[in-house]
Amino acid sequence: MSRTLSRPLAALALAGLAGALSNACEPAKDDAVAVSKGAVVATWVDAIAVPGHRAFADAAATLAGSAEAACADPSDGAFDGVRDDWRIARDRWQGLQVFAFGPYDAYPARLGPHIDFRPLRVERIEERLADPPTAETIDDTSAAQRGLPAIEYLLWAAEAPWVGARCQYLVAATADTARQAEALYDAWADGFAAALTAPEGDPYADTAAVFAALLNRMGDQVLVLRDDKLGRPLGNRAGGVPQPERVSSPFSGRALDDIRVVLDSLWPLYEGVDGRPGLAGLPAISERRSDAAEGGDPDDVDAAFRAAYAEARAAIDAIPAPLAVAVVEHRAAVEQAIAALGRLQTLLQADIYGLLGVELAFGSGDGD
Amino acid sequence: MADDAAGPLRVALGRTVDGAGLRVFRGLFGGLMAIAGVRYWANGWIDSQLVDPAVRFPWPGLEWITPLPGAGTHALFAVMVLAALALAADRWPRRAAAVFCLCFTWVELIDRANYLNHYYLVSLIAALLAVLPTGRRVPLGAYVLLRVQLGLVWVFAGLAKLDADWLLRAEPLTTWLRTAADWPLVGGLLATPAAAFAFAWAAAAFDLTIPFWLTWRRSRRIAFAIAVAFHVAVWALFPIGIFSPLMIAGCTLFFAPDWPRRRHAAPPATTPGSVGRPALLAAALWLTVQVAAPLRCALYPGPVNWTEEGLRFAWRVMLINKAGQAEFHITAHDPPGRYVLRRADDLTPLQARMMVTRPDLIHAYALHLAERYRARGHRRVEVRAVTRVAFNGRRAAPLIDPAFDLASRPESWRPQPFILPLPPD
Repeated sequence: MSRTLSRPLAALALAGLAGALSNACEPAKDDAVAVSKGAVVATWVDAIAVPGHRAFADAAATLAGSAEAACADPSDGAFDGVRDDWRIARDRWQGLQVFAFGPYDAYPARLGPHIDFRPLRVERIEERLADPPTAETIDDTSAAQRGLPAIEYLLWAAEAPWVGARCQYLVAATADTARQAEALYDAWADGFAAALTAPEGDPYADTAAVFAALLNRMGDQVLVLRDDKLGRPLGNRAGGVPQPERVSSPFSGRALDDIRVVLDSLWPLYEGVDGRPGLAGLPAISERRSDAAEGGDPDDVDAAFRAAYAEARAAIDAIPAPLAVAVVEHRAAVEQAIAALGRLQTLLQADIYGLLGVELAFGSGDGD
Repeated sequence: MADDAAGPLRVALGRTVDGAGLRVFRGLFGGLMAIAGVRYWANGWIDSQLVDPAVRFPWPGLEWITPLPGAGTHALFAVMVLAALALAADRWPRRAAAVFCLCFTWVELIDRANYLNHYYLVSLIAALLAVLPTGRRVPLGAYVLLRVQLGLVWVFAGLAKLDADWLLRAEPLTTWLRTAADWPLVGGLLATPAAAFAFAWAAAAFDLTIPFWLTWRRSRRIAFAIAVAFHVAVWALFPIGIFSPLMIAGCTLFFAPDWPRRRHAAPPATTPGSVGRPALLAAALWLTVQVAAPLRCALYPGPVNWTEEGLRFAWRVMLINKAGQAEFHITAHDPPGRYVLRRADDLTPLQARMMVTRPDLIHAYALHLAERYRARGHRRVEVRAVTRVAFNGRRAAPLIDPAFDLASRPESWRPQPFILPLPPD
């Protein structure tokens, strides 16, 4: 290489190196102790998933107890308490959707579908009311005729008070759901939680794989809200024709509450809980925090996430209840919520996935 | 004139040298490929990546390359592994390499979503081994062709790293090395920006120069040691399958041809010879294609790592970290209907992940959707993609023009007008 060419090239290389080093030496913007993915996974599992499953099992047991008591003494108002207990159980269940994997769908138990199976077979439930299941025969009943959706149907499809077949079915179904919920908690507490926080190869190779799987489920929950909970009833898969019968919790009219609970359940995963770190504590996110006003620094993913989350929550709150009516009469409000959730989904599945290099950990093939 | 000009080259390349080094490389290559085939099978990838997908992304013009019916694809892998083992054992090496090449390339071409640079490299090497001479003595040109082939991989990989993202932002290494932060002892160090910059600059320097250091006899030993260390480090840090051992095996081609037998037996004598004109012409044509393919990205507008036009077959390895989402808005006519698809339910998770960040796959999927809705009775279908893609540490940005009807344009190798430019930093 001639000297005339080599000197400018060398100068260019040195200038580039200097620029690179200045980038490399830029101090971190956050003085907090670096949080590892392992610490975040531990928060998600030990501080959220396991206590969450315990809380759901307790709520399911309470529901079973109140259903049995109301059926034993079907006085005025007795079933209002059962409905309230169903709502509490339903909320706790919806709050666990990010963790609806592992024991949830692992064979042979497949505990999750026994608790919450869609689509509900209403006509089959009506047929079964002629010969309702008991505690002894509920195991022979299809998942489409038991669990929280079936209990919802039993509680709301006919006026209380009930006696006889409907009550027998209700008692059997609530007791069964409580049993499944307890089994699900046991599965988490007795092994699956440890398999996530200290992975040994099966089902997850390492903490990075667990983290990627859970983060993927976070993003997927936002997609489920947009696509399944709002988009389908709006008719996005039916040529634009509204499908109000596709809302969740249709008999209790709690579709929007279901959506709120799922969205709310993402917040502790992001922010952390009980002083334990969440997604926001990871250096890739925390180091990009800026002192600029909200939205002032486009690299501040944390601020963007908080803004998008608040916007999505407000957009859902702005949909007039019930959702089954809103998808027909207030389509713009539903579409605005879908769009707002879309921005949150982008933050999770594009910005945060990208910053955290999640793609590397999926393990479904080699790269490059 | 042409004969006169090529004559010395034909003589230089035709001089026969010891074939032992080439034989060892064939053995290493065959052994690695056998392991790779068994690993692919054991991981369940034959089913999950080749057989099970309901939708495929065929290469334009090669739609006829499909998974074989029944257990055919598994049988294809069995034949592939047997051929690789034959190559490893140096039994019918050229036929074994040809059979392996056909099987491997068939598998590689079933689905664009499965494309990997090192799969392409495997096909190229297998093709060369299928035609290059074997035996105790082989023309020096056989070594030279393989060395140049590997050298092109390194050098083009290095040239691709002369990029602002790589050198001045150390991306995507900064992001990727952070994933190793939990590693014991070195994790904290690897996760620092300084480590990412050190790796980035060292990797660029390595790729750009290693074939020359390996070629120069005086630097060969240390260069080999550095190459082994480099590729082992890459293998440990990133899920890149057989690429690292393949390149380490390739380094042995730069040794003296008789290196395997130096301590055991006298090498066969070097004898004069000459490469035939057809062989020289074929080699020149091969290398021309190998040089032209990576350079074709210059024919496309915009940063290639963002647009991915001209990205494949160009040795642009480890340069891209993308994550994103894509949803498809379908406007059907006659009868009318509007549909929004926010998840590609008919793709495998791997296909879906690949699709949402790659413009050509997004386009191919849009065409597939158009076909699907036409099959449902709509006479005319428009498909638009709303995409957001985060690229090398940047905030997510639209990759595809959401106003462009992707169904209105067939796939082609020409620059695609629906790819949006990368927003300025």
